[in-house]
Order: sequence, then structure tokens, then C-alpha cells
Amino acid sequence: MNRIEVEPRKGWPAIIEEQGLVYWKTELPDGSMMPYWHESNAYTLTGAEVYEMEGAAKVLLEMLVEAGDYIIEENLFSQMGIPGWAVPRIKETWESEPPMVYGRFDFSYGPEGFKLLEYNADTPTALVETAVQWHWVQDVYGQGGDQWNMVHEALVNRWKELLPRIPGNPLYFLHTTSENSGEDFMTVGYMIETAREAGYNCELLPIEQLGYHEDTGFVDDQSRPIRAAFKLYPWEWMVHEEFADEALERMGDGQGETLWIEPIWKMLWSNKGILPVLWRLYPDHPNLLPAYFEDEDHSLTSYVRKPLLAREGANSLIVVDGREADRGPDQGYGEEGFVIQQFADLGDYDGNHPVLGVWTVDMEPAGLGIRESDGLVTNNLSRFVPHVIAD
Amino acid sequence: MSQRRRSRDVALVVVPLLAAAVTGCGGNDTAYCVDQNDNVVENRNCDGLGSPGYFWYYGAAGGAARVGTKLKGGERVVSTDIATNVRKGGFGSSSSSSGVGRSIAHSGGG
Repeated sequence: MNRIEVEPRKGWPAIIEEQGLVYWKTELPDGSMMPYWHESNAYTLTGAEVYEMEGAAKVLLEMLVEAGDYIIEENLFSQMGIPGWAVPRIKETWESEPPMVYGRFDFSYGPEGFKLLEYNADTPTALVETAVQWHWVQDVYGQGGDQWNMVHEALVNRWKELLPRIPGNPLYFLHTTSENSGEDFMTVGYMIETAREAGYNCELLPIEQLGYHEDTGFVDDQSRPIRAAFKLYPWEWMVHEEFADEALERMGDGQGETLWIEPIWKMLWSNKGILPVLWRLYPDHPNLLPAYFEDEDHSLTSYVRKPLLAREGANSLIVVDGREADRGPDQGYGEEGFVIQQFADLGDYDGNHPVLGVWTVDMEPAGLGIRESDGLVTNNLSRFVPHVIAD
Repeated sequence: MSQRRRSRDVALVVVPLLAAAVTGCGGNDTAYCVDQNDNVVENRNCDGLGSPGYFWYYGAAGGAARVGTKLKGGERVVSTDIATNVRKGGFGSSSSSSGVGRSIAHSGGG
């Protein structure tokens, strides 16, 4: 993999905004703006590297299935900070396998190959920018421009497969109105686009407007029953909110019930506790970094301490050779516990440190989106940089 | 490089995307007031606070229906339920202005 300089397209902000990436500016703490989309550079990968990454993602998905079984058999829910009241439904849905749609692995790619940093299995974003980069490769490289990017087609195909299994009509898509850059809204809007293309009737609804009626179950803002809902809102939040009991009690595809996408068992895979579980089951696997629950013995001197449930690098601490090297912003995470993961070499590309996001649709790898950072913690100030396959 | 690595030209532009997001995907939003046998009746039976024994019927199959038509393919809600007995705001309290976030990995540096 290399990082190359590329001539940015003239008028690129208008181009990407027109394509849906309306949240390309990130507001910095001092009120200034920095571009989140960065097309003055690009990463080039070989076909062999893409195949290797795809293979790693496939194997990891199979390992995750084993890890889910192990968590249930060994009753590790408490250690992973998963509340007891959610456990029966997690176990039940793990067995019954209600529809799931997508996820995103984050990999480092250093001298020792692709290493799993974490798996965003419940509410991954960066979907719109992954689609937008396809237009970039066509504009810059023409019809011959190649990219690992089957995400759109895979999502449409997945929704088509699920058509007979989704109860009710329309299919609801829930987002939070608190998010103010447009990222959540456009991500859900993009997901609607893929479902519409697959033949669904769709309805967008702020999750804050979700209602609940004793007889009907969950209802929309017009009191219509919600039989199935895709939610860009994590289960780790939902199980602690006012409607948690109702969501758990009325979960399913029957009358008066709601089928949730992603399913609640994704709390197993999206939890950072999955990292020590994988390492315990597959020690020395070439795509894994040594990882431990905080109360386990380890001899790592360079490591990252991550809260089980944190987002955007919050409350992460990086220790290199026994000394603190960097830390993420304090957002109050960590009460639920931490994991320790060996510090990974992300590689240094002119001072930039990329994380490779590999999309999965159902149980198949589907494409790539790369974000890079200046510092050691990849946080919400990172930049999305397009890629091209160059053999 | 093989074709399977390529995405075909995704028709992703903001106008249809936003339109789809804001208006939904063309589902049947028409609600009919029906009796216990799912026969369409005058809306006044369901309006206001509604009446016991009458329902709002959503998602009926087929085109516009007249009074007396028996509806199929949708779902009904007790008319007295509308705007009453529905609790709201039970989800959403955990989110902040950053939303679900870019949920990015952390670790590393070269």
C-alpha cells in the first residue's frame, strides 16, 4: 500500500455534497473547520493486498461465530458490561438468527500484515463516503479505475434476500435527530436508497418520535404499527433507555412485535470484549492482536486500553514502552470496564496513520474505506481518503 | 484487476437520496376508517377521539377504496388509540450532537 498525491477535482466540495456527503467538514474545538473528505491524496493497493484483506475478513467472520458461542457458553456477559436483562434475548436471537445486514472491520496494516483493531457490527458509519469514493475513482482514473467497492450492490442484494423475512410494510429506518452534521441522517438515507432499490417501501423516522402502545406495540408518529425497523442507534444505548423493557418484550416478527435490524445479539460482536475472547480462542492468529480483559494478566508494555463500549476513541489510552503516548477525549466511558489490546503499528505515510475499514454485508466482505489521522488515536477528526487498486 | 472488485456506477446523488429519505419510498400512507369487519366507513367515525369499534386501517392493498369496500393486506389501529395511550420519547436519550459517531478504531501509529 502506498499514499500518493492526486490532483483534487475542481469544485470537489460541490461534487461530493451533490452525491450525499454533506458532512465533509468537521468542526474543531476552536470553532474552525477541517475537511473530513481528503482527495489531495489517495492510497493505492495491489490486487494481492485486497485479496489478502478479503480473506482475513472472511476468516474473522467465521471466528466471530465461534466467539459468540463461547461468550454464551462461558457466560461472559457481565465481564463484557452487557446488562443481565438483555441476555435472554441475545441468546435467543443468536440461535434464531433474525436478519442482519452489515458491519465494518477496522484493520491496521503494518509490517506484520492486517490486524483487527475492532469490529463495528451494530451501527457502522462511513457508508456514504464509501459510495462517494467510487465516483472519485471514476472521475480521476476513468472507466479503468479500480477499487474494492461492492458495498452498494451487496447491500441491495442483501435487502432483496431479506424481502420474504421482513414483516409489515413499510420498513422503518430510524435515526437520531441529535446528530447535527447530517452524517446519521444521510447514512440512514443511503441505507433507504439501497432498500428501495431492492423493492421495499421505506419510512424514515427519528427514533425520538418512536411511540409505544400497550396493544399495538411500537408505533410511528401516526400510531401505525412498526413491524420492522432498521436503526442507526446502538443496542448498548437502547438497553439502558426507557423503552428497553418494551423492546425486549415485544421483539420478533409476530403481530404486535418489532423485528430490529441489526439484531440485539450484535451486542456480542460490537463490544470490545470480543477482542480478548477472539485472542483467547485463536492465540497467535496472524490477523489478531494480543488482547485481554483488564483484570487478566498480561505482559504487554505497549498497548491500547479501550473502554468496552466507547465510540470515536473516547477514553482510550495509548501506552508505548510503559509510558502514556496519547489518549482520546474523556466522554465518561469506562464504567463498564476496559480491554487491553497490543499497540498496533498503523504505518506512517508522510506522518499519516491509516485505518482500513472493511465492509461486511451479511457474512461476506464487500469493500474498503480508509481513514487516516495525524495522531495515534483515530478519532472523529480523522480524514476519509479514497483508494485505488493499482497493479 | 477483475471486474468483481469494481462497483458499477452507483446513481447516488443528493436529490433522489434526500427525496427518498424525506418522503419515504412511495409506500401507501393512506389510512381508511373501517368497522370491525374491515369495511370502509365514513372518516367521522374515527376522527377526533375516535369511537370504540372503529379502526384506522393502514397499508391496504389496491387503489383508492370507497365506503363499503372490504380492505385487505394492511393493519388496523383502534381509532380511540390515536393520540392517546401512546407513550413517546422512550428512545433517543443517550445520543449527543455527534450521533452514533464514526465509531472509529483506535490504536496505532507508525
